[in-house]
Amino acid sequence: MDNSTKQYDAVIVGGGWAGSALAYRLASANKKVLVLEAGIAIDGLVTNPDENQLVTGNRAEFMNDFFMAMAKTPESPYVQNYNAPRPAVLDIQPIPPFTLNNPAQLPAGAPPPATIDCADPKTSIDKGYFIQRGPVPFGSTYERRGGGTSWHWLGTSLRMLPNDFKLKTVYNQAVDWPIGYEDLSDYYDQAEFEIGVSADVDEQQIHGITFSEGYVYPMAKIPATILDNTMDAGLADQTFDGSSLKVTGTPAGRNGVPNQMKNGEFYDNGRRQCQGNTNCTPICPIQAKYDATVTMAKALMTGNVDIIYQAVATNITLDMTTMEVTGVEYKTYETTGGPCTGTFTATGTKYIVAAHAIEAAKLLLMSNTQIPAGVANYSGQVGKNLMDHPMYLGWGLMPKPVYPFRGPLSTSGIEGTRDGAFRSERASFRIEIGNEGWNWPGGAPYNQVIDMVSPMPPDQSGAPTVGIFGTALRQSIQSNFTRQFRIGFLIEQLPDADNCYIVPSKTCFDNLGVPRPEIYYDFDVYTMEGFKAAAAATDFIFNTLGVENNTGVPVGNGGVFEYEGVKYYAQGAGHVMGTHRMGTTRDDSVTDANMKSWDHDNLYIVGCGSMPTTATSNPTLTMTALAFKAADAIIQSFA
Amino acid sequence: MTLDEFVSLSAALTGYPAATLKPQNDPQQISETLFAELSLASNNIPAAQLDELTQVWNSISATPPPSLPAAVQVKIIENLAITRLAQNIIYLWFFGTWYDLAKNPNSFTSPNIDHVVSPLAYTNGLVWGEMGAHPMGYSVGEYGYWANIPTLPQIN
Repeated sequence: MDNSTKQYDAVIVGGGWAGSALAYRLASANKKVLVLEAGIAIDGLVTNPDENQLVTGNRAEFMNDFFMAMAKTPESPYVQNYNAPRPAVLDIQPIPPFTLNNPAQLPAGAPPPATIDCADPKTSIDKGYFIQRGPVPFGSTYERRGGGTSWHWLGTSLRMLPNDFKLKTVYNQAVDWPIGYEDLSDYYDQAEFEIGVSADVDEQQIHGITFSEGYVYPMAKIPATILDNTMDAGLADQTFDGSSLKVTGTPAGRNGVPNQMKNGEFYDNGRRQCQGNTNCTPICPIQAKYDATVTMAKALMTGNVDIIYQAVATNITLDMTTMEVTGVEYKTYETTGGPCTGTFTATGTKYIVAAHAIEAAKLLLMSNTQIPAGVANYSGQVGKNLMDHPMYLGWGLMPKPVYPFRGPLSTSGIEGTRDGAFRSERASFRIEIGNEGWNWPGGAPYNQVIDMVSPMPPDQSGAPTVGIFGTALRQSIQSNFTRQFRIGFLIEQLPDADNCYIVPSKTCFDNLGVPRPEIYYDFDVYTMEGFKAAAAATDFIFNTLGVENNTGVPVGNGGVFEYEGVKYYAQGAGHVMGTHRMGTTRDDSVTDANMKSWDHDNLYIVGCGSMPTTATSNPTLTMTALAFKAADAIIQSFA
Repeated sequence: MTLDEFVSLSAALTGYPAATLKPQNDPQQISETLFAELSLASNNIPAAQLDELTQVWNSISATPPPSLPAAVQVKIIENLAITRLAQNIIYLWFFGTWYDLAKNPNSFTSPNIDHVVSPLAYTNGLVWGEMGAHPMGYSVGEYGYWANIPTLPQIN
């Protein structure tokens, strides 16, 4: 479909989470919207069902690929696309010290800086999409296809805390947000409705979170697992560093039992109840968990939205007199490994970049033909302040069975640790309770069964060894796996423009010739102190519960760093934030609080990249609220 | 090795009754699917190893049940010439996966020929039911089942 000559009210770059939310809101206000999605289509999620899409995917195919994958990583259901590549676990390897970005830091006698061989894009991308410059590898991945990374989000839908919006004012750290909790409260209500969140209002009123009068979540809280209840029984009255360790249900974008809403109607989104597949990441088999294709489908049903897949935005053009955006250039391709088939320009009245924190920043910086520093980058902050919730994992065996590998991946957490006076000194965190045993840190059930059946020989060779079998094996499996559990600490990270940023590579390109993201990333003392506290909290919790502590080197150990002589293994949370932050002035932020570019009146940049600080809540719910806030501002700007 | 020999040997190695592994009516043909791995050329199974495992099994398969595990222990598990192949039969049943015989399954050397046999082989993996759970990504439970204590399969 060639829409390059059609004039739209809004052109949205990105058909993922924020892009779908914006398309739906604008289309519902009768705006004509064009969505450019870099990746392949999802079956049925198209402008015109009769139109033949070049390449598509669907849940059944993704499930098949997931079943057949040896390593069931978050991206295992989703094949790589060399024309719109995405990172994978292979991207997260330790970075040798000699690749430090400053050659002056080379130790004496060290080999010259490593260069990445990316002459052939496909073989190079097979080894990882990011150009990781470190010193710590950035640990999170994302998806580029219809629906974006929502295909493998966990479902956690926590609100941010009031103090999270004013870290500078309250704790003299980093920056405040240009808005407060009260500015987002209504948008949180709307986001929870759109996603379909299951939770209990009474339980969520923590750390100053308030709800509007009579508010109920769309669905009742999802039942706790046996593990959740076991942990709560042992920890409800305990504190760590002054914070309560009480276990509470986690608001989740998974279907539960509908509530009667404020307007008297029972909530119904037409999708199934959660069946507890323990597979929210990498993929919910039955779409009981919300994903962005739900909202994009509604957007398309308005008749006001056109979506072009396999359309990779590569340049944003400007009118240098008005400084308004005049178009988005994009490249097309026919197959995921084939050549570029054309370059087109999409035009509209308003432009919205909602392309994921890393890809959005990359696009703005790549658009440097008219302004060398890139579009929307007067502040110099585009691509800077890259953040995640680096995660610390602790794992062990409960004294009694807790029956993991059942229910949603996570149903409860410890939220008391998310705020407190300690935030003047160290990062806060929330503690997620995992229902999938040692699957994440330990490759369960595979690695432990293999250790029982084919123990690794002392010389680590491939020589055969003698293990257990039959009845003894079955007894070991029952005894070990029914007691496995892990907790994960989502640790706050502060914006650090000098050490954490992404730029488009000047030397490495994808199959379309588009620059790959070159990433510089590190942890500051504030975050590393958070890791130290997380390790101490793990010891305290495990001792309190009588847990056999098995915390050691996790299977994914690429994010290793050392602090005060102790090695820590950071995991990515998939929460990529900060690269086009909003703020109060043009000098130190990329957009205003409505996510409108300070520099270009008709350009909006929306997504987790908008977040000035990370807080500790999984950011997706807040991103949805922000997308709705931006949508309101855009609709009003037409008036 | 015949399919019957494979199933009876699998019962001894997994601790599950042969009738559980190969029910009279099995529309999913799990035992047949797993058995086919033993004749898959790309699995590079040394013929002598498969022959020896078959012969050894036939020499002890009539052992009275109470003594059978001890015979399997000595003749198969502790026999380094065939134990890796026997271990792979365990993995076929518990995971639905085949691991390169030439290395320890816990080592991720590349390239290798490790693979999942089929989606059905994965979803029928015994390890999940053994712990009272279901294969990740394949639950037949109803909403909220996870709040209740499961019944683990009985071990005889």
